[in-house]
Amino acid sequence: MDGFSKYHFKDLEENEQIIKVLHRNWFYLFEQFFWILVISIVIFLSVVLGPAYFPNLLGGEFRPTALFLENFFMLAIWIFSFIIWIDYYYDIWIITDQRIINIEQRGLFARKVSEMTFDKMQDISVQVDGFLPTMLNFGDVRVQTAGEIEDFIFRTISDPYHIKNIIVEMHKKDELNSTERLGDMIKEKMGQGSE
Amino acid sequence: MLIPLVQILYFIVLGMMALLSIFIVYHIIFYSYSTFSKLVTLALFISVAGVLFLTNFLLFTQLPLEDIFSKVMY
Repeated sequence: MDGFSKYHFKDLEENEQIIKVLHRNWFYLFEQFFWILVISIVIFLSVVLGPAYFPNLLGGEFRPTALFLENFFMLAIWIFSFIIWIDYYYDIWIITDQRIINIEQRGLFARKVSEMTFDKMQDISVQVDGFLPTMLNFGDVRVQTAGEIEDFIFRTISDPYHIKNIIVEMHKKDELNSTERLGDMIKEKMGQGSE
Repeated sequence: MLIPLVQILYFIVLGMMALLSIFIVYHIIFYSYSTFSKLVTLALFISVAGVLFLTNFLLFTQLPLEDIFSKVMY
């Protein structure tokens, strides 16, 4: 739990421990914000330098209109930036010692929470595609599940190979615990039978 | 005729932006994973959005709409 005590999730079991909390890689956020940043700089420069370079368009009698439009775009950009931030920050994967929880935030009006216990896990693969993902070490981790349950995909997460190792380790621990529990149950039954 | 139409349109767009802001605040309050991030994000969003909404409204009221439309039309 160390390092994760600042997070509070409502649906954790009493003795459940958080192993890892994952967001998408910072580059995903940068990609989303890049054009917003460019537009903001253009607006800022048009407010500061515009009247000097384009006195007919941004100064004089058109000044109130130009200021209003600049302010309006800034407001729109501010709101849009927070929509992107919400989409990034509230879209997370939580690996605990018992299961994987996926909280998927899509914009403001779609939110999906799903979970998978380690015993449902069948296969796990990592996909790192392209120059930048390879250089910055981010990619997708796909956990294939048994039956009709949808596959779990950790999208554009940092250090996907390390995350894969953590999941494999948790899966092995879970299998070991299940075997131990089964052994205990058999011992108990045999003890009852011999009495 | 054109000026009231523009004013109505402006208030509709501003209202939609206000509604989006309310949804953003709702998400921050109910889905934040830590109290610290909730408080910081809320303070940042509300203070800047508040100032921008207020100044936008004030700038709109000071717009010489009649002048603008008379120049556009003729």
